Amino acid sequence: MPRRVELQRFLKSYNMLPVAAAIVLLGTIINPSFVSEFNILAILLDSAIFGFLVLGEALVVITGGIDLSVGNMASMSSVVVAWVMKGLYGAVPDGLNLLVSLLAALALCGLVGFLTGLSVAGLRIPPLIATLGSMWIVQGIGYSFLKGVPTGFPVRAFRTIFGGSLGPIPLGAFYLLAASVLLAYALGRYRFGRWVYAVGGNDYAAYISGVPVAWVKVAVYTVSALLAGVAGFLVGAFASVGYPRACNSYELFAIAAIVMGGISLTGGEGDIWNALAGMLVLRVINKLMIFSGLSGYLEGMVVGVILVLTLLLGSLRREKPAPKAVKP
Amino acid sequence: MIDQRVTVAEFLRRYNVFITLGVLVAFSALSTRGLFLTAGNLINIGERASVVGIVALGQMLVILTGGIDLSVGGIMAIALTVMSKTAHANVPASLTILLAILTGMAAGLVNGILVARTKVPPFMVTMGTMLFYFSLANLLTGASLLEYYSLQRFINSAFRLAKLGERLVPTAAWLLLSVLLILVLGRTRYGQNVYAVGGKELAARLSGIRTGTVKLSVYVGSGFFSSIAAMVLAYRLSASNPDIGTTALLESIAAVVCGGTNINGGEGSIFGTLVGAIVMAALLNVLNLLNTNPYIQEAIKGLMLVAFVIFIQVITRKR
Repeated sequence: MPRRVELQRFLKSYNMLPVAAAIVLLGTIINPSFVSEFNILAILLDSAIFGFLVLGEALVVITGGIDLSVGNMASMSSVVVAWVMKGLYGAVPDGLNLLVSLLAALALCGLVGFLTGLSVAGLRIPPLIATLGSMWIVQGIGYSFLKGVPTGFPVRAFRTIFGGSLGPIPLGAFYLLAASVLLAYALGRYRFGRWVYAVGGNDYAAYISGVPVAWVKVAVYTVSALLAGVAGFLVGAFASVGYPRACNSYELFAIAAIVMGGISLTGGEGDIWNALAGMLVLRVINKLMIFSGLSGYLEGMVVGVILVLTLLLGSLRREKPAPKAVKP
Repeated sequence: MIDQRVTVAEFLRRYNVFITLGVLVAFSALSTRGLFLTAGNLINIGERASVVGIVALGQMLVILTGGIDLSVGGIMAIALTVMSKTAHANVPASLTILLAILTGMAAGLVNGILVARTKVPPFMVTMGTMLFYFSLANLLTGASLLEYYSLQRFINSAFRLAKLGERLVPTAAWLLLSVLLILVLGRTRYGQNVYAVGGKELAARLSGIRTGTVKLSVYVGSGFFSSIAAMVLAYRLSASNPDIGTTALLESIAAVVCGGTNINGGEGSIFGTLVGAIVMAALLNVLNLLNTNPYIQEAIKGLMLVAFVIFIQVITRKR
């Protein structure tokens, strides 16, 4: 039966979805209000913020790199928006103020991402070290703008656009969906997407066959920084302040989500929907800790164990010989 | 005949971290008008470098074999937890020290087994265990303030230390461990094996080295050094939060890389790592002496790291 084979293949390539479903089921048994509208919307909002970090991180990891700076980049973005907006408030019309402050934050994020990409691609600095450096740089910039003081956003439209909701569903979820569809389309249907996978698979082979390897690497680090900038808008609107520690250490959860979604850290494979599903699992676990009345400190333990177990199972499965074709 | 002349580029490549240290010291001495080169300040730098320096020793062992250990801060957290819990239960201080070291090594053993016996990459294994160890420490202590006064008293009375001696303990411990590791890596078969595994693992295995055991041992070693670093921190601070070691991870990697160790494994020297840790501590120290905005210090640290690696890359580029 072809339909059943399709379903099997679907479950095999998106194996994080049943895991998420199982955790939701567990949560519902522990506390029926786990599937309440309130909690589901909270998970969606959370996922929107993390989702933008995961998208950028996934892109970088597919090219065989890693980006440690995404969390602090998002924090810096929220601070820059607050700083510019506060400075311009009253001097220019609100609409222009909003536009300028958003563009300023994106420009700074993009610039740092571009320079990181250049140092990885042009100067051959290992991505771990280059992004560790840029992580410290954006952290310092984030602190120095407003001296570490959480600062509100005077233009109200900012909160409406990034923190509002359409019906009950937070707008951030729609933005994430749009960005994911766009990115998936670019990866699947455009030459750029093939280049990204080619660079991650074997960058020398890609170079020989005419792929502009250096520029692809620069592009992914820039895009990752820009997406982190957008995550900064969402987290800023959610907290209603720009704060230099808003997203610290989120990069770890972004990397964990990607690995759980089956993207290999050596690059060249994986798709972003799986990475997002991995992220969803982590967010649901986070809420499960709260709903089951367990200590929040347990979250790291649970995530750590699940992470290592997922990888263990994955490596065991890969060692087996390829299964024979299903008989029709 | 092989050309034995050392070119300028080769000289720079071998000794770049020392040149950086020289430039930094000269700059610091001039810009702070002698404030930098006082005995008090040098002791200060030694104290500051020692914790990161000790963590970096273990980190370097792991990096030499081509791995990475992200869990060092987590291991420090559980070692600190063990120290404060046992001290509270009136366990003798000597036993407390032993227990903390054993806990650190056990935590390292878990990393080592997972890395050596499975195909999960070290980055992911140690990221998972890092989350685990931190959350274990926070769960056991409620993330509250931990106290280690009895440890401090024990060490001071054991070595009959006065005020100045107290301040030299961290640096002395760090230098002693460094010398020990230099001897182990440079003079023993085991040291050769560590470099061999990082250089080309398959070749190492085919020449009869038990690569799995070597890999396992370096993570145990990293756990050992992390727990010692936690102890030094406890001795210096006498009270802290369990997650005080969080920053040690990234700074230890930076010290190792600044010391000229190849992040992909197989080459590097302990002496370089030692100087790398001093460079990092001296840099932050001089920024403080110059009254730099503390917020921008992180950014300068990051720029320094990247600039340093760029410098190494540029001068080692093959012509």
